[in-house]
Parts: sequence; structure tokens; C-alpha cells
Amino acid sequence: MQDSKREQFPGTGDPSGGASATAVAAEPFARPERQAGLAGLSTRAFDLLRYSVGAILLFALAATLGLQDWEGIPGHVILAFLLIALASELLPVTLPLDDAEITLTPIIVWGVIALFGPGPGALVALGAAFAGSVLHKLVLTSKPGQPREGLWQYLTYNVAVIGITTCAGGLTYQALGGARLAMTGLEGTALGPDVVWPLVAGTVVALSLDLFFYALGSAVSDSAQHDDLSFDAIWMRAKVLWVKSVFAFLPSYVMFTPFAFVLAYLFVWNGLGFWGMLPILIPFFSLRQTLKLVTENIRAYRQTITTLATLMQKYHPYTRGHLKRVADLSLRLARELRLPAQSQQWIWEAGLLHDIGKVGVPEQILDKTTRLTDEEWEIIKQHPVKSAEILSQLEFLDTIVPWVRHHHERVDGTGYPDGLKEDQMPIEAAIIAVADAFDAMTGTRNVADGRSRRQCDACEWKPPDGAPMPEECPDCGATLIRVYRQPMSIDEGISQLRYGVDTQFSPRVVRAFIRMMAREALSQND
Amino acid sequence: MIEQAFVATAFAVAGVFCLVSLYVSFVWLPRKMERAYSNALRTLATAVETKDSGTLGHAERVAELAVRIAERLGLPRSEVKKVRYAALMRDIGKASVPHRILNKEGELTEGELRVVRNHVREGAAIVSQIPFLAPLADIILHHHERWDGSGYPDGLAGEQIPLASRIIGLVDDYEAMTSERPYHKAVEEEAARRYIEEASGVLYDPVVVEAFLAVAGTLPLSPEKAEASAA
Repeated sequence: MQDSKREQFPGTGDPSGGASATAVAAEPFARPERQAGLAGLSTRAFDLLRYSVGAILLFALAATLGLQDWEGIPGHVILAFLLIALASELLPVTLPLDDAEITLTPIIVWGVIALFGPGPGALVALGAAFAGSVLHKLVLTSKPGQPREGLWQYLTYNVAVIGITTCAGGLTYQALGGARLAMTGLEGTALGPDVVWPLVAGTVVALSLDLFFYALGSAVSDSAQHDDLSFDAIWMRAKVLWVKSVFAFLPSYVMFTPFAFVLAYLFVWNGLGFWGMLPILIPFFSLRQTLKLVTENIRAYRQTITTLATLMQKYHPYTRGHLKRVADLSLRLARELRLPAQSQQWIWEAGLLHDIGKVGVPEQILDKTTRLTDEEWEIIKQHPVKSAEILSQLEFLDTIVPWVRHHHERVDGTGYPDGLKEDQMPIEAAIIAVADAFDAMTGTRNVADGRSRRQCDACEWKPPDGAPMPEECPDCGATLIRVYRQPMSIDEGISQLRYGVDTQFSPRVVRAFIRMMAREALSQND
Repeated sequence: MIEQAFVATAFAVAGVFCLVSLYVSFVWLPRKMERAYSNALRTLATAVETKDSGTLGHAERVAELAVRIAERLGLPRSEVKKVRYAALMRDIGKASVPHRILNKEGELTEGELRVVRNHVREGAAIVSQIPFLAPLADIILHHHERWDGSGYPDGLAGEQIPLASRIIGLVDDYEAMTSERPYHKAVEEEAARRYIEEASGVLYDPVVVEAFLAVAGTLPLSPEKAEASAA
């Protein structure tokens, strides 16, 4: 329901307002696609889980439909509710700064339960979720040449869970004597005990089941990724996830009762019928449009500013490739470590921008291959501070300021600028530190040492006939020959990281890094 | 009675909600984004300025004065905004000019001069890669052209130079003259204005000079000058 695992719509709308960027930035700085989540995973354990869930669904559905009094329920009205629910399923609200999606469907479903009982409610919920995800996957987000992976998993797990929670919640409503407002009318119904309290109880049951299945599914998929499918491992992960997701799920469930009540009440009141849905539909869709606009504007802003700031960092010929690789690697590490959504959202930008403060540092110091003087070292040590200062002045980028400031801290507390220890520095900073160091060691740089060049890159100065290229251009002073180390192999890089664990690098991040690399090497061999 | 009130409240809340959404979408958000962009461009321009000693806050003052001239010339709002952003971004290409050339005291060699002059091309190349800023590329490329064709990079003359570039070029010179640099001492504002007036029709577009003279006195002094006059 909420926070569904489907991919997002690609941003297509044009943000209004002259200043807002309409298009996203140039290709090389496009953010990597989101990984397929739970749905993409197919293991035997997960299959087993899905079949059990399917069986539970069939049982719950049979009970719900069997216990429902179908007499007098108008089929065309239920169909109309189903279509409205389907439409809302296809038009979710995406919250800015966080990819969580909210749809109106559960409110409609609970409204239908309060109007007609759990049977029609379950039909509307399942129909909308099923048709919605099929349409979404097959029509709206299908890209040519891309396999439609995950649909079957999504249908048999996520949609089935929606069915189960609705059936259980609806049955609770019925068992507690919940009224069917469309049948009984408002007269003679005590709204509190007959509608509101059963609705609250029903949503509590639905919430608990939703949390249970979400935690279980994620725990199984996590455990499968760590190659440990023992009961204990799954149970431990599920417990952690359960507690964590209560706060993610609760807010939307709290909204269900009041809105579903208003929806049902207005539907019955004075025969308003579907007109009674306007006070819910109109605000929801205006909220959707507004949030969409805000999200797109912020996203375009982030891309524009990140691209601009990255293009500005031209002090080394290899810098740009390096920044991009650090950003990609940091994002993958954040995913491997299962950091919160917000960290995964921002760490890519942080990877590109972590050295922006070097723009003001003289190139002679950055290029220097001999020992730095104390004064030069002080200047170098200031660059994370400068980076953080610059970023702190930009809007919508506050999150990454501490990550950037501390990306040269060492876990033993001897780093700069603040000498933080492992438990004091943000994990994101530790990630950037590892990614930065690893790519600096292994990255494919422009190793061409300049001796083969015919002229100066900067000012087009040419050495006189036959003379060798000097180290510095006599005309403009550009460094022509840089002494780079030969890049290390991946294995050498990893052993360097291992060597620095507990002094320079965070053990947690390095472990995740090695795990990730090992898995990738394995999947490449397959 | 309570029922009617309940239903009426539901509809009223929905209506207010819509109005708030409209306000956020079409008034609050554009303003917020405008501020965010202009702030971000200013910050990034400042980051480049830290390289070039003595130019801190320069971009902002140039932008301010250039916008006033553009407004004085009656340019439409969208053009004024372009002038503002281009003035902020005009020296972004200096990020790729080595520190030691930017801060060199004394005469630049021919090669160094080529590198410095290349900053307009670098700047135009950077902004042209960003859709939102791409329209500024031409303005940035030509902001060192002169009315008589003696500027760089293409030696354009007269109206061939984009108007925004003519405005920014003039303001850039004025600001450079009146502030301290490694290679020269600051000139009195009065003297700088006289110099620009004399160069009207030679280095600068007479129309722009006229607008400049009309608005130049209205700008607050730069911090160091304010300090000097207070002392």
C-alpha cells in the first residue's frame, strides 16, 4: 500500500516558473537507476514464502466472501469504486526528498468496508492492486528491451499481502459489529460504536499484519543476500525491521479511519453518492500535483547544481572520472549497508561534491609530488571544511554537509579537520572515505605522462624543434608531466583497504565493500 | 444541524486545501526556487573567486549593478534575470585557470594571457552543458568583447555583441578598476566613471554607458571602500 516497492515514474512534467529548471542535466551526471528491491529477488526461500502467502490469501478471501451478506449490494456501484481505486493506484503521491509513495486506495477500500462490508472492500482492494500493478509494470513503466522482471513476484507477494490485510481488517470490522452504512442508512446507527471503533480496530489488525509480512519478506530477502537462511537469522532481521517500519507505516494508517469515515458518511448523507467523494479526491489530487511539482523542482535543482559544481572541478585532468566513480561506488556501498532511504538518496551527490572546496586551493599544492610544507599541509587540511562551507550555503543540500566535512577523518581519530573517531563520524563520511581512497588507488587515470605530447594543453605552447617536453610549460606554467603511480589492481586495492581497517577506514564499511566485491566477482564468473 | 455543519466543514476544508496547494505551486515554489538558484550560483561563483585574490564578492556586485542597468534599459524581466545569472556565472571558467597565473604580479606572458582569455570559452562550455543555464553561454562567451571590435575571443563589434554581454563587460571593468588587485591599485569611483564615459562609443556601447552613469551612484559601496571612507 504505502511505500510500495514499485519503481517511480520517470519525471516527465515541466515544473512551472521561469527560474525552475525544466530539463535535467547532461548525461554523464545522470544518477544511476534505483535497484529493484524485494521484488527482484527470486530464491527458493522467497518462493516458499510467496506460496504460503498465496495460500493464506485464498483462505482469507474465501472466509471474507463467504461471511459477507451480498443481498442488495449494487454491483455497478462497487465497480465504480473499483475504478476510482484503480485510478488512485495509478496516480500515487510521491513525497519529496524521500521516494515513499502514498495512494488513496486504502481510504477508498476502508470507505467501501464501512459502506457495504468486508467482501466488497476486499474485492476493491485486490482488484485495484492487481490491475494497478499489472498496468503499471506492463504499460506505464515498461521500457523496450527491458525484461519485465519482478511482476510475478510483486503480484504474488505484495498484492497478496494487500488482500490478506484487507480481509483480516474487514473481518475484524464485521466481527465487532461494524455497520454497513449504505444498507442501514445514517438513521439509527450510532456512529461511534458502530463505525468508528470497529474501523480503528480493523486498521490496527491490518497494520499489524502489513508490518509482519513486510518485515518477514524483507528479512528473508536480506538473509538470502547474506547466504544465511537459518530461522534465527531471519527472525533477528525481522524483529529489527518490524520496529523500524512501525514509524514508517503508522502515519498513513492513522489517516485511514477519519478519511474513510468522512468518505462513507458523505456517500450516504442526503444521497450525495459519489459527489460526496469530492472533499477527499480534490485535496488529494491537488496535494499530488503540488508535491509532484515541488519534487521535480528540487530534483532538477539538485541535478543542475551538482552538475555545475562538478564541471567546475577541473583542476586535474582525471578528476571528473574520479568524482563520478567515487559517487557511484559510494551509492553502491550505501545500498550494500542498507542505509536509510535518505542516505541512499543523497550520497551520490555527496560523492560528486566532496572535494568542491579544492576549487580554491592552488594547483601547485594539489599537484605536488614532493613533501608538503607545514603551511601547504594546513591548506590541504582545510579543503573538507571549505567544501562543507560551500555546500552549507546551498539550499536542499544540508543533509550532505557533515558527510563532506568529515570525509578525511580516520577511525583512530588522527584524521582532519576535527579528529573524529569511528563512532563520532557519520557512516556516510566513512563510505566516501573508502570509495575515495579505493578509486585513488585503483582508478584508471590519465596515465599518459605528457612526454608524448606535442604542445601544452593550456596555452598551446610548442617546444622548439627536437627539444623534449619540459615538466612545466615555460609559457604559461601548466604542469605538463605528472608523476602518477601506476594504478593498482582491484585485489591490491582491497588489501590496502584491509591494511587500513581500524586505523584509517571504518571496519563496517570495508567489510561491506569486500562483501560487495566478492559477490560481484562471483556473479561475473557465473 | 450538526450533520449539515459536518458536511459543510468537509467541503470547506477541501476548498481551503486547494487554495493552499495553488498558492504553494504558483507563488511560493517559483519564488523559493528562484532564490535557491540565484543563491547557489552566487555561492559557486564565490568558490571560484577565492582563487582569484581580491575578487571576493565581486560577482555579486557586478550582478547587482548589471541588473540595475538592464532594468534602466527597460529589458523584460526574463532578460534581466538572464543578465543576473550570466553576471554571476561569467567567470566560472576561471576555475580552470591556474592559481599562479590568476595571482601573478606583473606582466603575463603571451601563453599565460591565452590561458586567462580562454576562461570565457571554458565558462561558456560549462554552462552550455546544463540545460537550465545553456542560454547564458553566448553572453558569457562574449563578455570581454569591445564595442570597437578590440575584445576577445571573436573580436565582435557593436551590436554583434549580445546586449547582456555589453552590460556585463562594462560593469566588470568598472568593478575591476575600483577594487584592489595584485596587479593594480584601486581607482577612485569618480575617476573610473569618467574613464568609462570617455570610452563610450569606443570600448563601450553608448546606450549602456548612459544607463550606467544614471544608476552607478545608486549602488552601495563595496565593503573595503565603505571601510576606507569611514576611516
